[in-house]
Amino acid sequence: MRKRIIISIFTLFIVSACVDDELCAGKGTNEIKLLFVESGTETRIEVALDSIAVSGRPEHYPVIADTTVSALTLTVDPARTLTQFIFYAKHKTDTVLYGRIDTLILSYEVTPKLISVQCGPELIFSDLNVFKFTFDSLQIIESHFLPEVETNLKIYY
Amino acid sequence: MNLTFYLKLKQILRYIIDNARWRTLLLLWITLMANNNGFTQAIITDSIPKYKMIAPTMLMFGFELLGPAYTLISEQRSGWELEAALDVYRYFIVYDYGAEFFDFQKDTYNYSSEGTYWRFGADINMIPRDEYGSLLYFGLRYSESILTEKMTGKVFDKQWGTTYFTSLNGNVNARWIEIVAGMRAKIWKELYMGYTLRLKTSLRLSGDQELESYRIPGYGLASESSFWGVNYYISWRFKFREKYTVPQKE
Repeated sequence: MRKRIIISIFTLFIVSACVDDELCAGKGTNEIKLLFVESGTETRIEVALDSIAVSGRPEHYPVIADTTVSALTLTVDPARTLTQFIFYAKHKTDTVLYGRIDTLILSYEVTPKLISVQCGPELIFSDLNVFKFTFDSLQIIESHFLPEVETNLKIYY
Repeated sequence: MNLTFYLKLKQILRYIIDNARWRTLLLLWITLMANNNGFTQAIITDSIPKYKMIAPTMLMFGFELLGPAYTLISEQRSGWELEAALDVYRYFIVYDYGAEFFDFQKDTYNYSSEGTYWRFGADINMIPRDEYGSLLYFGLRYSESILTEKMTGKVFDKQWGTTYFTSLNGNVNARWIEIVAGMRAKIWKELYMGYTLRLKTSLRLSGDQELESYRIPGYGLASESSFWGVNYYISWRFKFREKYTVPQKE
């Protein structure tokens, strides 16, 4: 009988030591990846941007400044479920250089998650949608926020 | 001509003998099985009525020890669980009911989860003839938990700075399946001690999900699709009558 008690208690400690193993691996990202393509031809084009601003958050102006890109990574506002980006671009034709202003409003879900007791919380972003835009056209390629995604939105410019 | 006839005759005879051998063996096996079953049936039906064989002989009432131990030693976790097991022949119908509370308070967040859970299922006792009434079993459970979770905290983003949040999951329902194995050993009179190892799997969540669930009472980490657990029990056996046992087959 004593042997049984000892074995039972020993098993208790061995097994209970394995119960609370936790791993730290956050997967949340608020990055979205944009690709600019030419309307009609779908060929990748370069866009000369003066700046990109976020409406209602002047403290974060500009999020991008004076750059020429064909692909771009932006981050959405974690404190809201809508982020309005305003694109100030230099649009160059053969002879004329003129400004162009476009608006892109993105909607998404933000869900807090506790990664682990040690690692703390993170925010999980999901269900990317386009609420409003003024570009020629736009296509959602991937609505999930994932680091490995190459393109979330294809913008026809 | 004679040789051909002889070979054909030999082939036919061989076929009959071979098949007859298999048929004989098959018949012998069926007869033995039938006799064996008849013997067993006779013991059960002739000497002890079948309803007496399967009628419950005891109710084992258990109290889980890890939950109260966590309550005493940890500020982050507490809980309790009761277990009732009724025997039916060599099987046990088992019902567990318990509650767990988690409260993690750190610099960047406060998280709490509380709820009740129950499990219902059956075990098969692998040592029904044990002289002490000890158990070595495995079985299945269907489990459910109703819980409330709350988290307040802050996260830092290099673009957007610090974001503060408060999220509440008011009424989450969790369901899962458990494959269990364990033992109970007799300690003193009708007092038993032992443990149950649980492989919890097929977790399904429904209800409010403003916050991604983290700790599910009775299950563990919600992010794990399967989860190992152990419960340690001290139980008292309320015996109704002596158990009728089937003699072991020779």
